[in-house]
Amino acid sequence: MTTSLEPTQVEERVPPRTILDVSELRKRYAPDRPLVCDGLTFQVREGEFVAIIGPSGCGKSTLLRMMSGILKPTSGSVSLHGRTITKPPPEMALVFQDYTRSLYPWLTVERNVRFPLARDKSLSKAEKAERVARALDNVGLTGFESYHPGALSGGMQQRVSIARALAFQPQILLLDEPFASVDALTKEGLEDTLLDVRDRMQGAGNTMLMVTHDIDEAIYLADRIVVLSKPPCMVAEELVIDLPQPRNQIETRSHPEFLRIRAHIHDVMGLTDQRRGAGGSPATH
Amino acid sequence: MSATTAERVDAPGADETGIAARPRPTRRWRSAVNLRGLVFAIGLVLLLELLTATVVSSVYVPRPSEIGEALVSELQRGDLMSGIGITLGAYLQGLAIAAVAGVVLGAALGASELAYQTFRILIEFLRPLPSVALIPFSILLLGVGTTTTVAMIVFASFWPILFNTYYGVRAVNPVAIESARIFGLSRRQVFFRVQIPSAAVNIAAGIRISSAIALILVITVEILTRSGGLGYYIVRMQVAIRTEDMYAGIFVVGVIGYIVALAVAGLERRVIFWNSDIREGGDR
Repeated sequence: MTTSLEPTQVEERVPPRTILDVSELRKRYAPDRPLVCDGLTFQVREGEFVAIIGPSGCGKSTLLRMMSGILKPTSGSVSLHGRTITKPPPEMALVFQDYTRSLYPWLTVERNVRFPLARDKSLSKAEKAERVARALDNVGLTGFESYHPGALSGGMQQRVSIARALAFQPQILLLDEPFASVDALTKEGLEDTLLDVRDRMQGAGNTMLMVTHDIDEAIYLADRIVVLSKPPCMVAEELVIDLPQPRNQIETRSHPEFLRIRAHIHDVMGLTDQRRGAGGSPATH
Repeated sequence: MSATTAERVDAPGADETGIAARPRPTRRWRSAVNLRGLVFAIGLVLLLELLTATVVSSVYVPRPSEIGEALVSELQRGDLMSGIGITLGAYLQGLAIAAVAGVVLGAALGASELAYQTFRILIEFLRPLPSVALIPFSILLLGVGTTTTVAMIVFASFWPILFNTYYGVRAVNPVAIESARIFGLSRRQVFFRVQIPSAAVNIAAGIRISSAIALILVITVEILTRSGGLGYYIVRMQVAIRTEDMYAGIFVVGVIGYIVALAVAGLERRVIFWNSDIREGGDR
C-alpha cells in the first residue's frame, strides 16, 4: 500500500487528472435517421470549467444525455474516472435549462434540494439537512426553504436547481444551457453565483461542464471551450481561455482577449460571414 | 416534515427579495361576493312565485313558497332525512371505492405497457357501456338495495378516474423524469416520487368528473329499483301526487350536487395547490 501511494501523489501534482473522457462518440437514433454525433472526442480535467458551444440543433442535448448515462451511444464511449458510463453515475449531477419542469412544484425548496439525497442511505438525516442548508447558502437562498418553486422568480428557481445539484456533491457538474430561460440581468447574477460556488468548492466538485449557445457566457465562465460543428456534430475547435482570474462582468467582458476570442469563435462557427462579405466594412463599435 | 402545504400564504410581500409575489387565486372570494348571481337567482324565484300565484295554476307546478314549506315540514318528519342519509351513504361509498380502484389500476396500467395492452380491448369495450344498462343484471346478481346502488356508482365513476390516472402517469414531462433518473433514482422511485405526484392533477380532474357522474347514478338507480334514498322519495311523492314534496326532494338533490362540487373544487385547490403555477409557467 505505502509503495503505491508515492507515484499517485507525484502524478496528481503535475497535470490534473482527466475526470470525464468522451471518446469517438457516435449517435444515430434509428438506422434510417442521420447521424447526430459523429466521432466526438474531448476530455474534461479535474477542476476545469469546460464550455461546449455549438449551433442550435447540433446535438448538444443528445451529447449531454449520453454523458449523463440516460442515453446509449451508437458507438464510442463516455467514461468517468476511467469507468465507462452505462447508467447515471452517482458522481455526476445535472442542471437543466427548464427549471419549471425539472423542479417538483409539489415540494418545498428544501425538499426539492433534498430530493436527490433520498436514495442515499449512508447519510444520516442530520447530514442531509446540513448538506441542503449549505447548498442553499451557496446560491444565496437561505431563508427560502419553506417556499414552493411556484412562488419564486425564474432566476431563483434556477438557483434552487443549482443548489439541488450541489447538495448531491457531484465530482462533475453538468449544466444544460442553464441560464437560457432567464433575463439578461438575472443571467449575470447566476453566472457570478456559479463562479463563486466554484471558488468555494476548491478541490472537490469544482469541475463543471456547461453546454450553451451563448458565446459570451462561455468565454466569461470557462477555462476551455469546445466548439462543435454543424450536425452531425464533431469537435470543430478547442480553445483555452486565458483571461485573468478572478473574472468580473465589466473587466473580463471588455478585455481585448475576450473580444478576440469572441470574434474567433464567430468565425469558427461561420456566424459573421454574411455581414462581412456583404457590407465590406465590419460592423464594430 | 410539517412544511408542505400552506406556506405560500405567509410568504411576505417581498419585492426587495425578488420574489414574484403572486396573488392567491381569488376564485373563492368571487364566489362569496357574487351578489349579481344571487340577486338574479332570487329574482327568478320571485318571478316564478308571481307567475304561479297568478297565471299558472296547476297541481304540477306548485308555488316556490309551497315547496319551501313542504321542504321544512318534510325535513322535520324524517322521511326526507333518512332518504338523504341513504343516498349520501351510497354515494360516498361508491365514489370512494371507484376512486381507490381507479387510481390503483390506472397507476398500474400507466406503469406497465404490457398490462395496458392486455386490458385495452376489455376496457375499450366496457367503458362506453352505459352503466344504467347493467342495472337489471346487477339486480339479478346483487338484489335490490344499497349493494346494487353502490355497485352501479362504482362502475360508472370508475372509468374517468382510471383513464385520468393512466394519462396523468404517462404524460409526465420527460424533463421531470430525466432529472430524477440522473440523480440515480430507480424506475420504481421515479414512479412513486415523480409520476404519481405529477398525476395528482389528472387524478383530481377524474374524481371531479366522477363526483358528478356518481350523483346521477345514485338517483337513477334509486328511482329505477325503488330501493330507498332520495330517488325513491322523489318517485314516491310523484306517484302520490304530492308535487310540493317531490320538488322539495329534487331541490335537496340539487343542493347536494352543489355542495359536492364546491367541496371537490376546494379540496382540489388545497391538495394540488401548485397547479395554477404550472399553468402560469407553461403558458409563457
